[in-house]
Amino acid sequence: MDKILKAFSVENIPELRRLSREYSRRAAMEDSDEMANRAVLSYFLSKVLQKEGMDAGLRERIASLIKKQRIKEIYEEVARAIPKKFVMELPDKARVKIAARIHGHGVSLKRAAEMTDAPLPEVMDYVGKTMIPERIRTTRSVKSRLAMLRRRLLDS
Amino acid sequence: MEFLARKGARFEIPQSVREESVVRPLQLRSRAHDLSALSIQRLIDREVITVSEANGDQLMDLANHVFYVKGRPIHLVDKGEADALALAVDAKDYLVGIDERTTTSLIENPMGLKEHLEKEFHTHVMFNEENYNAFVAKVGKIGVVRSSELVAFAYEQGFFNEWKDKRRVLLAGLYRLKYSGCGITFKELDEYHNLF
Repeated sequence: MDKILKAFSVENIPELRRLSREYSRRAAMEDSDEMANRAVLSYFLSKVLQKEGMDAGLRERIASLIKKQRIKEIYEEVARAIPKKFVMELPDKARVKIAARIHGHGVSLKRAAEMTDAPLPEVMDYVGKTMIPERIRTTRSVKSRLAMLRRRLLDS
Repeated sequence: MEFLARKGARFEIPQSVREESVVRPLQLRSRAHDLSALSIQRLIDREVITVSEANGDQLMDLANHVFYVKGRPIHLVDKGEADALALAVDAKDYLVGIDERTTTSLIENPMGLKEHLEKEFHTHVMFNEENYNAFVAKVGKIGVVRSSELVAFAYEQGFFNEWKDKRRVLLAGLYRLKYSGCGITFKELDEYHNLF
């Protein structure tokens, strides 16, 4: 959490994004909910820093909550302080995005969604709109899958 | 699916898949997935889809102990997929429908999946051959198809015949499936383009 705090305190958005990627990979490798939550938080904070309404007072309050590791309260604090239209769905979007990223590393969809507490159907939808499926190779051609299906359904 | 059922196809899902595709989506705050969940429930009510009890726990355990990174196993397969595999194994001359690419890749191309994991984690991935062989011994030569093949097969059987440009409708449907999470690649979409 020190790394997140340090990057957040100096408003280093690229570093928060980098941390988010690093924690996502560790979440997948270590099957760790804690790492997944860190990845979500890093990504969330990188987005929040870009929002209108982020002032020095709010930054201090968030920093203090990061120090105390009271993560849930960070989301609540931001929701209270920043106009709803700017942040309403931000924590949910962050959860879905990080779950998709963890899945991209190879972890099953459901486990990835569980790790970040994201709704599974939303993670599926999101993954479908990314290049993630392109990264995992299968060997059988469409033609051969169709042939299998025809054999099974037409010959029975 | 109703169209295919009329052509003699039989669809069976485990209870865990019903839970994931019907029960949980209907509990979400967002109503975005209600229609899909209710459509599946309707197919169950009309007995197009049968819901069965299945126990894929052993398969899941084996599959999730095939690859290790730094001594830790990688969680690749969920209960839904494992139960679906178990159901298919119990049937004769079976096919399993799985849209997720990881499980499919584990069955068809484990070394390709190992390479993928090594690329993602930037480190060596250990392959536990014993667990993989035990997994393969249980699933046998199982055939995997995706929703996209079901749609393409339905097209061949005349499902889109009433549309003016049925080929275009088929391709639109396949793109829609991809963007909804069915694990097909752009290269595979090109294959469909060339096939139809």
